[in-house]
Amino acid sequence: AALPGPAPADWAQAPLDPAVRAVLVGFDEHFSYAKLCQALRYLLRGGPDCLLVGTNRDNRLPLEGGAAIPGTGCLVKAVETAAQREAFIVGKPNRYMFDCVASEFDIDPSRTIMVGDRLDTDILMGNSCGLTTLLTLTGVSTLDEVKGHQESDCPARQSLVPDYYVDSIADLLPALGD
Amino acid sequence: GMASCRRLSGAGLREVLGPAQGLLFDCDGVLWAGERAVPGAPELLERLRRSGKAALFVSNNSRRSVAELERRFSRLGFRGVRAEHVFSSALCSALFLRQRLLGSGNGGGSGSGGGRVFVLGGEGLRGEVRDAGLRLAGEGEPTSPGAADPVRAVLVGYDDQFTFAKLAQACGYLRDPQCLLVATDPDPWHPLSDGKRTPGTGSLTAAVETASGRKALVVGKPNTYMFDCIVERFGVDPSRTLMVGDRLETDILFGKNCGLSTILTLTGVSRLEEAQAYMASDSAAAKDLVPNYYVDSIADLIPGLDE
Repeated sequence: AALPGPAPADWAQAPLDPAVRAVLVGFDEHFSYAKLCQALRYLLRGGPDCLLVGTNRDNRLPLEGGAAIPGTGCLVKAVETAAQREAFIVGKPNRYMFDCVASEFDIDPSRTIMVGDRLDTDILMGNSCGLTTLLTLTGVSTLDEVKGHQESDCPARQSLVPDYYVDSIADLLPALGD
Repeated sequence: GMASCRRLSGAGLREVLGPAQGLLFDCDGVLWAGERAVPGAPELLERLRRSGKAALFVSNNSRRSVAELERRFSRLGFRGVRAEHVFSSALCSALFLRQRLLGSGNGGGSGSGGGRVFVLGGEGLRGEVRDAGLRLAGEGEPTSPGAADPVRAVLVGYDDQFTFAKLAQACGYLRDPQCLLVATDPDPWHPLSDGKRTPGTGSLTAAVETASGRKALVVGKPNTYMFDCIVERFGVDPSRTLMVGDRLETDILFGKNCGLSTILTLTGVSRLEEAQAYMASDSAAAKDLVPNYYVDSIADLIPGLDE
């Protein structure tokens, strides 16, 4: 619904949809203060009866040349800070999506490999769910980062270490027969 | 020792106010709520003036320039408050950036005037930054590393025109590790006059920090930079100055951090129960949020002043 007027005092008067029971924060390149206001209003109106859900916490999405655009995690953090409550995060590294897959496809974690490029999402989820984890180096995380986690005393950082790595998933081809 | 959140009244009022040389006041929720002055607040300031006690103002609100705030004081019935008495996070952020970007040893030799500032905020904040002698980066400018006239700071303030595009632009500038990330204040939300809430600078800063992987330097309360600005201009003695505010996590902690005795007024954000809960908590950090005293409204301070 369009917001009446240009200022927050106006937006605070816009009628709220009585049926809304959840605020879902995903990637939104049209995110704005006005939308943040509306999210806050629904969360305050509903209290614990209004869910706050985030699709994921990725802080940035890399582009070529080292640039990056802000990720969904930034928008989730903005809403969490304004509302002073924590979102339920569906995406990796949380296990919810693995549970969805596992329940639909009868997966045996001990015979399943998780392949990903991000230590703090893909590898962490794989390790948490008892999968074998394989890092590919064509994306976000580097071998130096892995080394750093491996050498750290912190058990949380150890969970970011993959079982294996490849330079690219193409490197898996020779292992797959003809 | 820990503050004990005592109600200030009667003889206690005179004991506490008598020796004070001056009071620092937060504004929103203390002097006024929206467009209404707190009843008795203008009279309190008048009585302070007549008692020879200083009244200075320290606000995390980064929307307005101090010139606009001076007009607001007057419009809401407060007499004799001049811009020089008002320390807003907008002004102090500009002073902070001036120090860091234009201060001795910076920016002079290269001829680029210390670089530019990308401001996420309204006209009030942008005006303070300009008045401090700094140049602003425009919205929608491409961010190219190694530019001839680089952006040397991203300043996050209250920005009701905040967008994903501006967030992305800020992150582009912050790829340069020399580019500062500064926030006017940490407030997660502000109350509106009808009891609703509007998101604060803190929520926008959280987005920028998350995208950039950087921690912002926060100018406003509870950090002490604004007190440094006050001391530089007016030379106040913390041991003879009282801090009066309505928000435990900013005003009262600010007072504690600056060595001031603190008075919580209940016309704003924080409830007495919250102060009492902090007092009962085991955490050392919680104890710093407990005010020395509280009043229902700053009008309650009037009987503590000489007639």
